[in-house]
Amino acid sequence: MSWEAIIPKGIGILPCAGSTPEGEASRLAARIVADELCRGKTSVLSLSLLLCKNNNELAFIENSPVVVVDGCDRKCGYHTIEKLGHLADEVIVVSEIAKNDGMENLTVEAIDVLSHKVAEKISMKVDEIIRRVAEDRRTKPSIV
Amino acid sequence: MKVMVQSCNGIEKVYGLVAREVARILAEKLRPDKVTSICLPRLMNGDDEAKMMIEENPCIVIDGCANRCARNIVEQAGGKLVVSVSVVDVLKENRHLMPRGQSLRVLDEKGLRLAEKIAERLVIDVDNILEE
Repeated sequence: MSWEAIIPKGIGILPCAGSTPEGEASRLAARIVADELCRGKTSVLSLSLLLCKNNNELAFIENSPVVVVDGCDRKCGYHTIEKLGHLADEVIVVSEIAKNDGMENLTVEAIDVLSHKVAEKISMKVDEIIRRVAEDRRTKPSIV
Repeated sequence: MKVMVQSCNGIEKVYGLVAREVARILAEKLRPDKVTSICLPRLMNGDDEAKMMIEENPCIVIDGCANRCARNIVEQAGGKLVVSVSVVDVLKENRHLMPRGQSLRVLDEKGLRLAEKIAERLVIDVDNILEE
């Protein structure tokens, strides 16, 4: 069975909804993943809609894996999912990636560079989740 | 006192992109010393500093679509909502400025013009609020 049959809506990417440069980088990265790197495998979710308990977004996180892309270490996306009674399958924090790459002054150009780096990481996480989903299906059920 | 300008941060529709551009124009170009904003999720996740800012300062909300997430979040957090505008509503009066939704990362020329138009309208509200 293919992963599409198990998770027909694909994997959700939940970017930050903050007004910081890191938040902007997370949103751009989510779009790069959904529109280019993992086109057809992912959907971009809205943190604001989740905070407003939108039915479509709630149904998605209940039924499909989610990669949270938080802007900073406040991890609003991660905590929002947790408060709604779920766990994120993977979490990426943009400010940590920027820090590790020595990116301090996040100009418009730097945000663009950072968003592509973050998109690469999200793409790897998406592939990992798909691999895990496929492996889980191959696991033999235990016989009691 | 500063005016809080809270915009939609949705990325599923082009209207959110316009809303963010309006907030950016106000905060960076038109009234950089008078306008500020905070992250909407911080408000909903019980951040004390964010809650204090939204309760103490008048707030302008720029929503992208009819879901009006930004407005809902500001209201739920007890914000002093003074002006609320929705990009889709402004578009109804300015259909010639309908931005193309081909790329949800960069606004086209029409989208930028629409954002400037909304920002020019809202800057009057900012000045009026601060004069009162």
